Amino acid sequence: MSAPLTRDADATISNNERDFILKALKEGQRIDGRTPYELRHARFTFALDDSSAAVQLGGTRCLAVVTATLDAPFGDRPSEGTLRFNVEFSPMASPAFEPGRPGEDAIEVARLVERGLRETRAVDLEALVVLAGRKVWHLRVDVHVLDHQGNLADACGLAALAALMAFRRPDVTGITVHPPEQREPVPLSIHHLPLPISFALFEEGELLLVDPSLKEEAAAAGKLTVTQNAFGELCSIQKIDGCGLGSAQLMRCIRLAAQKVEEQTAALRKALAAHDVARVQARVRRQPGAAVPGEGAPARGVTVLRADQLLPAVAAVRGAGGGGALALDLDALPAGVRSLLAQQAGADEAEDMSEDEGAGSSSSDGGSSSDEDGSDVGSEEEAAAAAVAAAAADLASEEQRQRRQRAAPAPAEQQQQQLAATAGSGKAAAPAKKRRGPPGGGSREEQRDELAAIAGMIARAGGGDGGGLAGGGDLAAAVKKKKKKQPGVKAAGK
Amino acid sequence: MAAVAVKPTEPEVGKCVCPGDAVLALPETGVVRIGGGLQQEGAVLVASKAGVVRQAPRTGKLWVEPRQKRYIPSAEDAVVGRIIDKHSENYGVDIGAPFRALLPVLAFEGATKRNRPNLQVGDLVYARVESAHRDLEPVLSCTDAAGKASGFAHLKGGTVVEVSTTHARALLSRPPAAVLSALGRALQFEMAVGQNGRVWLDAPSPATVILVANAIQSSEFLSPAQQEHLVAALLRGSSAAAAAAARQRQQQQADGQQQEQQQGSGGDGK
Repeated sequence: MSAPLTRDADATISNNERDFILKALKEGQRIDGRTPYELRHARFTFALDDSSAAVQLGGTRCLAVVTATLDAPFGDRPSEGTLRFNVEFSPMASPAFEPGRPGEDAIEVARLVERGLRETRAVDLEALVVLAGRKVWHLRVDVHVLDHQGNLADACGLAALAALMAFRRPDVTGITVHPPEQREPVPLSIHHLPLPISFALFEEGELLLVDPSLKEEAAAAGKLTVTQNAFGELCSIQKIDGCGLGSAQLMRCIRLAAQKVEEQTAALRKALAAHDVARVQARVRRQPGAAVPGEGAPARGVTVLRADQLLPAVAAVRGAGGGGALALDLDALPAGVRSLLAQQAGADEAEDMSEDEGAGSSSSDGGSSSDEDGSDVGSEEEAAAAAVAAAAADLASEEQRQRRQRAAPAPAEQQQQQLAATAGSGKAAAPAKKRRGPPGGGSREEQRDELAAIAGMIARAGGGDGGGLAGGGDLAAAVKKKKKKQPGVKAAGK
Repeated sequence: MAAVAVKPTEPEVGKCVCPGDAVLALPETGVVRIGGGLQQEGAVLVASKAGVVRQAPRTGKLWVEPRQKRYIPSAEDAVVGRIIDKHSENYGVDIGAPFRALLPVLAFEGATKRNRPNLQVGDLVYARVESAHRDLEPVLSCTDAAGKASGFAHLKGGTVVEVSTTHARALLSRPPAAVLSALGRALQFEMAVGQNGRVWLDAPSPATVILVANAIQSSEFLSPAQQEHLVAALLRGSSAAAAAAARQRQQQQADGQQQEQQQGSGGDGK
């Protein structure tokens, strides 16, 4: 019977390659065309849900995922959150990796990442406390190796740090956990950015190269990993086996590493800056068709008013004022909607800040915490104003955009709901601002103004094709979910 | 056997086939040579892989060319293998297949019990797949069918780069791939292309080997004209890079001397 190859067959190399790597290195060359002290170009991919980062170093790919859970702290450290690391070598990454429990190499890399990031106190764990002794955030970083082409230590360290930098945890005030749709989630506080840089050593440490590829790793006489931050502070050194290393040579490695860490940090910061822009853009839906919140997103009370319900109000204004500032004539709205508004104005008094007791229990997934109980009541006008905010934000400042909820892409057939969802998303932003002030009818003038802005939008939209708007299209205004059953008011969202 | 609707008497070279498709009805007489991705089922050749039907112009050998990296041995392929163990009668060879291949020590030109080749674990050989039965270990040979070496041998020096099996076949095609003829016009190098996707390269200077390796690995999805461009660009780049590297080396040497001096003076100070 045929004998299967040993599992590390692909990780070992021929004598010819071993000799060639050394010969080329003596001439300052490497098989992949790099110079000895050149890093592979790092490419970063960040998930838009703030949870993960993937790093590609040449052919090596790693994915780091951060998960946060809210739980009791450890007894000996009541005023600190926790940070754990786990590295998995997927069998898909290399034939040398076996499924099952993490092997020796995986544990070594995990420890290296851990020493770099946790034991240097890079992440502020005290900032993860919600209630000292009761509830703290527990962070867990899972790094998965997807493709192994050498230098897993650097790739995993880089992926873990990138994921932590991109990670946002839900905002907490008192005992309320705000889902990311309601409040902009907050980044971790990271003091410094330690990054590992690995060297492959040849000829008893006389020759060295940085960021070794798989073959170079196999050919090397030893390996050294130096973890440093961009300030030139040495965080850890890992030198497990292989050939020895003189002190002068070690100092040279540390100097080199300082320089490389700066390079890598700059690349990481650049990628994160690009990601921040993408992140904001993902939440701004300029295009109709990209608007409906996904299944998992909590459906806040989103209601669609048909154009023919809203249009009389606009028409009335047009008829009366003519030119100048637009105002929305509330009395021209259909009776059903008007009664809704009145009812809502009453309900505003009942509104208060404590939204949701249950949300304190756990979990970063936000989920459907505050929409079912209906405690987050906003007035009809306020909701409508939110719609304005949503619409206006598309034209206005980035800052306003940042406050808005993100939504999954919509199936094309749900076009009818698009405007509604746009309104709903704006709602996330508006209450956050509005609740600061006295709730309810005090600022009716203000709300009127904002409704007027809607009218302006409608007028502009309608201006293009005149009656076409009145004829068919649905216009949106956000109303409380409770009022769904109101005649002539159609619920969207859930 | 499933009924085969069409039994083509001529193979449709260049046609895309799926596993189970009839590629050729075998003629009454004569020999049909087949390579990977084809199986004989009764009087019909049937594709066992999804891919494109290819035919070697000289030998008329037929095969189905899938796009895959893992090599599945088939008889008469030339492969680059690495010795992974040594026994009295055989060498165990890694040819990138799911199973190890056997290379009998006597399967070299002129080898006898007394005069046998001396290969070490980790050495490279360029060999021919003599038999590739799917239930047995593939057997290699460093001779052609007539017992002559005809290019198969122990490979000394140089290095190996990996490409896809498809690209390896493209490199072996006649007329030669554009990238190879362009490289051959400008540089001197030796190469042995294994159908298992391993390409052995050697040249007097490592820089040349690295350039050739880069050109070969980058050319898989390029048209012939693009391949020529690529080689021209690499050659231009290499002369510029060589100058830059020389400057950098000088700089480094100067830096190193400076540092040594500084360290020396620092030590004195203490």
